[in-house]
Amino acid sequence: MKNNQAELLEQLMEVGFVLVETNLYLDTHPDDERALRLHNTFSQKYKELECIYEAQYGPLKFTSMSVLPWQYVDDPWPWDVDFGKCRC
Amino acid sequence: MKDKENCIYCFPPMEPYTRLANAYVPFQIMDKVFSPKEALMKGTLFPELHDTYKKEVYCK
Repeated sequence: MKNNQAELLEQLMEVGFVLVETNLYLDTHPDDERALRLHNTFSQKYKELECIYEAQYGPLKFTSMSVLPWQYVDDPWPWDVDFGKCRC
Repeated sequence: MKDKENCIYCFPPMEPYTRLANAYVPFQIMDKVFSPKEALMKGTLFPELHDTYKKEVYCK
């Protein structure tokens, strides 16, 4: 796996995690404007990252579009990625 | 209540109507947040919820 690809995946996981946290927080604090702004900022960021990733490396989800041949089955599978190698 | 540092009742202040023998969870108010990288590594976005186990406290 290319370094840039792994880096993008890491960023997606990081921003995805922030969204899980803001989601849980907003469930109990629906009127917290600052938290909502934070969530929306990262939601936008997540979409951008997804777009950049998918344009270069193919679909992240089965609902995404693909060029021919169908790219969703391409290697590496999520469990085959050694993220230990790309972390400092 | 003597030692403010170890006092679990002092922060945040409880509402006046709290009753004995009932359990309450203090209401979280978002303050600063970790960066996405730090959050994923620490397992929480919120510094106030980041509590690492300290050997000297939990392993006597």
